[in-house]
Amino acid sequence: VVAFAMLGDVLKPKMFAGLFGAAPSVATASLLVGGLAMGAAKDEKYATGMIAGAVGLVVYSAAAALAVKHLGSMLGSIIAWVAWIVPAAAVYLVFLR
Amino acid sequence: VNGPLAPKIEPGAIAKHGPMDYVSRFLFGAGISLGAGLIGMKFGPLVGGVFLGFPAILPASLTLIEKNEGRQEAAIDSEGAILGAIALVVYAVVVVVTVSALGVVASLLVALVAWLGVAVVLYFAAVLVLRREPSPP
Repeated sequence: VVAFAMLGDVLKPKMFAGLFGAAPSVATASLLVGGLAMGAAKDEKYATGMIAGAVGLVVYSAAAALAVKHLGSMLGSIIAWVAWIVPAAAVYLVFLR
Repeated sequence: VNGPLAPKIEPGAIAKHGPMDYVSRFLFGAGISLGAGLIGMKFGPLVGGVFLGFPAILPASLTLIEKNEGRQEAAIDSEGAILGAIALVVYAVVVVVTVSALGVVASLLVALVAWLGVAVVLYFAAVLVLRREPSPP
């Protein structure tokens, strides 16, 4: 997590650095620990669910770009969480459940 | 891609950030990882997995960028995260498709390479189409 955060801090231009804001740092750590402890089949299910969360993150990032510009990063990024929940839940309910 | 849109590293930028900047993001990450695990234990791994795509670290990063470089730069960083998130969908699909056959470690390595490749290709495609770093909406 910290390594990806540092990469995002030292890379320019900002849009390129922004790629690392959605890097699979938490996912890799979680899937590595979980997979080694509970097996590949469990990781397969976690990663299947993660598809819905990642689709939500696409929409979140777009909403955050708009909201941060107008509301500031703290309020904007919190409000944008709604834009994560709705598509993530929709993909989960329609395709994965 | 040449000029100001060519990716480059500025190691000196690290000096703008204190240790707490990284500690906070580590704690956000550890918190969501733990949360996803607990949700997975309670509601099953499919639901827990959804939270592996939760934007936990991005809000902390955006707040730091706004503090150090301004609101506009934070909004542009978010636009880059759209491309990173599309690549994250590919990452998850690669794990789903390969983890049983390759095993956990090899599958995650392949997925990381796929994420980086897709993210970088999308960045260059966006730059070629836009011919500039986009202004925030």
